Amino acid sequence: MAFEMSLSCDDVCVQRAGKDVLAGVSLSLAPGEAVMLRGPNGSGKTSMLRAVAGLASFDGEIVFSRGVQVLDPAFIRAHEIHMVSPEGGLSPRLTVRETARFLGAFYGRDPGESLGQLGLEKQGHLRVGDLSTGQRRRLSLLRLLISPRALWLLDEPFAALDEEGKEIVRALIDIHRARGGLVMLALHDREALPSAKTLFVEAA
Amino acid sequence: MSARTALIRREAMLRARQGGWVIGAGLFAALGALTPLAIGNDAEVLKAAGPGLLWIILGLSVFLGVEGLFEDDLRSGVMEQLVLSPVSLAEAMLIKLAVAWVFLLVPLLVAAPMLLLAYGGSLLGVLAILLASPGLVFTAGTVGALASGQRRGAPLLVFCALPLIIPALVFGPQAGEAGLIPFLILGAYSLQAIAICPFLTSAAIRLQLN
Repeated sequence: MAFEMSLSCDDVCVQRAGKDVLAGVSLSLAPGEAVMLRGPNGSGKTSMLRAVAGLASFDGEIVFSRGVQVLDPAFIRAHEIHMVSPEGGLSPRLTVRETARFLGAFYGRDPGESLGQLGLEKQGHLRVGDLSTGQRRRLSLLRLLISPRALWLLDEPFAALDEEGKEIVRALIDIHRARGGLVMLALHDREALPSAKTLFVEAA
Repeated sequence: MSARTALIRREAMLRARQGGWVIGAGLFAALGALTPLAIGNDAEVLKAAGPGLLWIILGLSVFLGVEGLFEDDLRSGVMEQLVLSPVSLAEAMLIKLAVAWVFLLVPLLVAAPMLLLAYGGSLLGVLAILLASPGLVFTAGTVGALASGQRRGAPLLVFCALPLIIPALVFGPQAGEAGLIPFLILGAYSLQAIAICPFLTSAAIRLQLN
């Protein structure tokens, strides 16, 4: 399957608690493109990702489109966006295998071998709360494997991962982009994706 | 299995493991059993005061039973994932509250008849508890969602939500004495809570996410 969605942000200002935290971000992503948001801590990278996901209030325009056709943002946010945040979106009281089964059922897909792809098949019986930070990071990528969605919002995806884990993330992103998927990353360390656009953001 | 069934299964597993319902049910049984010791063994006094006290205990147990219903999901970023899903947040909250209600209700339905009988009250009180419990759990859950960003959420929760359970406190103890009216009002109390609370809860959670 291939994705044909594009994203364009025009002069987006993100607010938090009634104050602007990020001002005037404009960018556009065509199918298969990736953008790295860079900037120091507190510069609003995460806020920008949350605005695209519809989780933060913002001024300006965020438009999802297919060709010349503008798509309904509510539908896109329900069906075509994955966000992977450092919190992970995982219940600490479920085991790894239960998490995989839940995500599979929730997205209506078969989880299949996805745990193995993340190198977590041996941890299946452990509770998510008992995993190491890096293992939990890996598990938070599971939804990307289980359910294909056009736009990935990855907040510091390389943090806490070992070399093998970082390699898995890069491979996932490459496969996703080859299918025409879009990727927005918030990064503050030296990690970089070759062939991705870079956008420096600054706190308002 | 649909996304909703998956959510219900997950929620049931989490409820069973988180154990808030044990606290709620345990508190209800323990306070209910201790109250006669404080009031004294005069059967007439117990019969007159018992049902009223039992309803206050019920309210308190429900509040403490739903404490922590939203914190785990908020802190671990699950709420964000629910927003980015085909299931609306209000629907997901309805599932959460309904599962919490089932887990609290089942042990209460075991303990309540015994306590009512011990107090010399009418067993119709059990039906009243059954009718009023969705209203109590949904109301407490909504206030819990509002307080979930605060530390020390539980005391705040009890304090803010107590006025909202007045209908249950007024009409619950009258069950079995005043004909059909208390049951109708308790049923109505629960129906309005079921209709309104999932939306209020999802609005409260969105506020915390923003």
